[in-house]
Amino acid sequence: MSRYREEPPVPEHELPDSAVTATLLAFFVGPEEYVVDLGRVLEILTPVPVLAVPHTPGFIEGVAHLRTGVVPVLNARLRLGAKPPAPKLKEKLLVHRLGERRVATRVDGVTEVVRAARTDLRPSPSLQAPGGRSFVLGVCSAGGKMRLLLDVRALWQSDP
Amino acid sequence: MDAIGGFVLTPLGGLGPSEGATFEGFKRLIDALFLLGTLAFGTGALFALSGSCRSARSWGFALPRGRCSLWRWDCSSPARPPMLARVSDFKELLEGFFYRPDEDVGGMIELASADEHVVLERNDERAMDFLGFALEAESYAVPIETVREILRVTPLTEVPRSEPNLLGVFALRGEVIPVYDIKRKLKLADAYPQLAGPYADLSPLGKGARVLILSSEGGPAAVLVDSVEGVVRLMPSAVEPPPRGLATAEADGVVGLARAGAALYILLDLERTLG
Repeated sequence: MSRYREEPPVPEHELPDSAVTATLLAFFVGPEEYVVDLGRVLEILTPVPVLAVPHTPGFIEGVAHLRTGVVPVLNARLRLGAKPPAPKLKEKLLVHRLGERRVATRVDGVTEVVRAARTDLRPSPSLQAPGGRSFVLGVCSAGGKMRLLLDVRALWQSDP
Repeated sequence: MDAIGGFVLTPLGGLGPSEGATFEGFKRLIDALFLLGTLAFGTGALFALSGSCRSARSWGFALPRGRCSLWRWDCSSPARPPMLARVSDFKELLEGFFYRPDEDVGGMIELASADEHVVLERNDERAMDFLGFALEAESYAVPIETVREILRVTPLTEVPRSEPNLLGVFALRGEVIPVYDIKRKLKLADAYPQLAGPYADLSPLGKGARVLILSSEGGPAAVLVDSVEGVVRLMPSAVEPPPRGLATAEADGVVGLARAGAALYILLDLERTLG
């Protein structure tokens, strides 16, 4: 008989927050670095031609034809009202899920995959104007850098 | 008010010849004004701290209806989030940050042309993969899942007293695999190639000649083809049945004709062709 008894695995919700890690994708929109949940991301593409759709908000570029279907494309820089990015960055199309749907968000450059503990994710005081909508949920301080947690659902929500 | 007035005015009323008393009166007046200012400031601060425009209104302050631009947010609409997110709220916010397939996507921007369901419904038939190969000048295709391997042709071992369409056998990873000819059956050639025995001659075969190993029910079997063209994606709607009145089609194992672009493929059921 083994002297060591095998411990049953601890369910995730009982682990301390510092042990639960999240895998995030970091990218630039304008001069700022943002992160999203990597589980949301399906593909990172070099930009493909986008067909403009009339009567859409300015930040919606149109639709792009990917191999497996047609997806709407949103320009994150226009949506966030960000300044122009550093010139060395390469624009990418982030194809990601939104519930059951598949959409593409244009970002200014994908940097890396970040592993962060739940304790690295912190709320940030919202500095928005009272009427404006917040696209940032908090900050991620993993890897010695501050990055903003981007709320992609809010990004794609139509303005009231 | 009377008390304050009395406090200020008493020394003024008793204004006598002494200059000291006048000076005392002014000092008290300034003190009283300071006291009043402090009181007014305190009341204003109380309203600001209570953070509610409604309480200010109930005290009789004339504030614009609906939106209080002086205050930080409009308290007339109850669903306005506070400026500072509390930690307990942050957990809820993070729930939305991480992906869940059943997350709420109400109010998302919809583009009619980008509705994937519409596209999917139109293409509900699934494309099927076939392996295209050539026999003489024609292209043939078989379902890709029936083909296990594609190999170059090697000299075979002769099997005496066998069927004429059995060209020979060879060993592949400990398995003996019979190689059959189908060109004679399909009336594409007059003679069988001699690939086994002492008179074996591989030279009549072209450079592209290959052996397709099929995973048939009665164990593996191989078929000699002139060349392999590659994987062909065919829509079920693009497949037509063989022309009627083709009596030999049934026996030859021809199950249909399919067009892929400009090329026309003859679909074979190789088990039937061999059998």
